[in-house]
Amino acid sequence: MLKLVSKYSLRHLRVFTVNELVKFFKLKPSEAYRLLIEVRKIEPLEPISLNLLRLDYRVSVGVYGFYGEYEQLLDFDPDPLLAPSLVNEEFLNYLLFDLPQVLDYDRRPVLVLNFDERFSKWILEGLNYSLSILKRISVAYSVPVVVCCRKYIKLDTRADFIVYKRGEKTLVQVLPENSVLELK
Amino acid sequence: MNDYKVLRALIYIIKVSDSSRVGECTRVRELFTNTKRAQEVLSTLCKLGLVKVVYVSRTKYIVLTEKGRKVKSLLREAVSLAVSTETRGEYSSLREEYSSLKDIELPEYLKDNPWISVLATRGKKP
Repeated sequence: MLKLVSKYSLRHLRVFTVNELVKFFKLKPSEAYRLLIEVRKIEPLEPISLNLLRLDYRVSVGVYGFYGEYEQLLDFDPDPLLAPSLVNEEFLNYLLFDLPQVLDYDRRPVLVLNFDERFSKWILEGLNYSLSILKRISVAYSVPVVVCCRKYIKLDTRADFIVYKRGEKTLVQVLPENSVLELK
Repeated sequence: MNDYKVLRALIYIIKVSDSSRVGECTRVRELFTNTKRAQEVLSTLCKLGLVKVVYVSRTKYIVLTEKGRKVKSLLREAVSLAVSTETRGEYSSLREEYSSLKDIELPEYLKDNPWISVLATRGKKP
């Protein structure tokens, strides 16, 4: 357990669940529980919010879904950290082991493009699992996370932004509040 | 059918993939190197209604039935109980004590997620 604490920051360890610590690091369940209880005592960080500049909209901690022609919405302040184009276990490995280490030094909102194309097998299981990791990262580091998908899939996100064109206008439907906004 | 024969066949159930999709299910050749043993085990498992043997372009696959999946999950539980070095009391009291904390355990729908096993074996960082 000491090896783990010296290798990963306490905030990084907060991202893991008991089941993951047991499976990945061969900890006993009771050790994993004790470790997670301790790391959950660390002070929460000041939340960072993300401004969607073309929409005059601000999102805070949580995972948000962008769908459809989402490129139109990718104008942010501050600049988010872009997840590399990895797939399958490399993607999950990045989320669990590398992304928190980057956030330890450079805490910023996170942007994941082509989220619906990250898995070539066990797609639904992969999407659910990676979304669960991203939610934990969002809470541990108090940053918003944006996942972008071409097609609308019902994910367990805090809010969804569906971008579509109607004539000359580009509109954004925001769920669950179900409002329709026009892009600047 | 004697218990010993059934138990010997059940060992192989743990290695059979949960998926029934082509490309994700287990090939017979992956499980057995001995043809005679393969026939014996598969015949026992099929008689018990735990697996089905399917041919796809001359390749033989094993697919778990619903009953097979239930047996596999019970076997997994039995294995984890057997290898656990902790007393049940210690584990459950900790669980109870900390059950109020959010996110400390994976949500129920993610517990049997195949990606977790993939990461546990291949994806783990040194």
